[in-house]
Amino acid sequence: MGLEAMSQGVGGTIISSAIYIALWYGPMLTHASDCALRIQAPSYTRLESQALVLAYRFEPPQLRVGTFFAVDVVVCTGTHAAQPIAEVLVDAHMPAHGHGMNYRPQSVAIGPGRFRADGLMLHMPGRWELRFDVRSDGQQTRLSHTFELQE
Amino acid sequence: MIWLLGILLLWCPQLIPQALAQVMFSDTEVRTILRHGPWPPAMPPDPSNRVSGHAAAIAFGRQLFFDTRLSRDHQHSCATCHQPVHAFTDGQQQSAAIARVDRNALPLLNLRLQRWFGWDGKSDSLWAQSIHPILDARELGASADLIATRLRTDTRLAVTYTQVFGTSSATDTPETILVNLAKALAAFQETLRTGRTPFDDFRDALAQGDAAAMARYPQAAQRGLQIFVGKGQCSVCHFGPNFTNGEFHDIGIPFFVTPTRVDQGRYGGIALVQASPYNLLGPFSDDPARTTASPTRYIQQLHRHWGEFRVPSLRQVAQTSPYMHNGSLPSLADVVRHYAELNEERPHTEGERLLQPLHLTPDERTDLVQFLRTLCGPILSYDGARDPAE
Repeated sequence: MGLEAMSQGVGGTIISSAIYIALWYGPMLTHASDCALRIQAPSYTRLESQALVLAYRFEPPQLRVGTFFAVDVVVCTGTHAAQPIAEVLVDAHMPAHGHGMNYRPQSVAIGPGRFRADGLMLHMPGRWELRFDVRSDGQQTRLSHTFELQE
Repeated sequence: MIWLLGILLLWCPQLIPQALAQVMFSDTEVRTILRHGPWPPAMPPDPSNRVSGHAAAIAFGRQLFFDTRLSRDHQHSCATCHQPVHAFTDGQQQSAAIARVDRNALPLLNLRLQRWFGWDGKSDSLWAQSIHPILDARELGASADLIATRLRTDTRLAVTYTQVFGTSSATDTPETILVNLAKALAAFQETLRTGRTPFDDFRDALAQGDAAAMARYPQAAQRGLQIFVGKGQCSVCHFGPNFTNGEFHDIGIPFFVTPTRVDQGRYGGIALVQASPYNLLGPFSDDPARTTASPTRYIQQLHRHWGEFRVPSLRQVAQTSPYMHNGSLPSLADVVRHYAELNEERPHTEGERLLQPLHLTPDERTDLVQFLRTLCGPILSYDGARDPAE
């Protein structure tokens, strides 16, 4: 089952250079060491906004149509360094079809800036948009990532 | 044209098997076709049913399946609406036992591959689904107390019950007896499986590049298969080896039972499964880790689920007419026509943008039907050792 990562939407571009991260974002992270290490890990996909850097990976890593999976999320704050991340909600939609999943994932905090969402299931092949709603200090930031779930 | 084909094959020798099969499939189409197999897939026992796969329970379940003592009036059994000669359907538009129901009988085949049961998915296990017709006043119309009384007063049934479950019907509660009988029924139904089909042989030949074997698959079926995985986009929902994604869609079949009564479909099914004491999160599951309970745990009821019905498997589809949840389409040709001429003005299209009229030509419609007919194989039971109708 292939997964073609194509970054787009609110999340902006995916940057894979660990050197870039270390130079520019490392000093701004609240839980810098853990966050920087995870964000550099090749198994994670990275998204960013002006205020946040988010990295995630699927568990299990290879998605299959109709199979439940979880998402492991790490969020590193930039300008909001003093504010802990309260919540990260994960959801998925098929923009071309006009519907999302038939299941509501449950997200729990598993450490500072770390979250795990269980209960995701993509029931059709095609283009899916994975959405992360990050809530902190009364603010909400949405990061998204579109990918093709192949048959 | 022949010299052009020769040059093409010299340049791309990997196309030779497909060229001999005459219908040329793209790489994407080949990949999609291969995802519809191999067949049969593994069908391990159900962890929520402690007698799943047990020979004694299968035999007991088979006996119960045809036993009219499960009905209030001694006139009906599971086989009234799920007849072996009709691929475990009844050939009726809407089924009738004690009274007529609103829906068409689904075939009972390859059930271990399902996540939800019934057109509305009101059950999350086969054993829980097996309880519904026993209690439904329109179907068998019995009750837990009635079933327990009949079991306890029949020595042979009572002895078999103890042999299968290790407890006595004299001391088990009526509810426990009802659930246990449903688990025996499920153990039997799990053995009802379909064998390999002409499509499976073609699919494997395609995977192996066996041109001679591929050429044995009818040309019309190959053209129909190309529509199925291509312009028809049928395989997006009729996905995988069992030709279903196991979920629910609104495909434009009216869900008004009468002008004043609506079949809620999946919307009502979610409410029922969440409220059921027999769901996989409840105390009657035999799987303490609840390893198969994720669909029930994370299900959400949304407005768009109104009028959605489960995507049925297409295996054995030529033997299961009439079609759709209300049995309103008599033939496969009618089903293909429905999709070819899909009403774009129908309600609730926002969540089903994928469904657009296919505008198939008459020849394409015929080819698609011919392909669907190749999804039929032998019906097996007891792991293929016995015909279920014997």
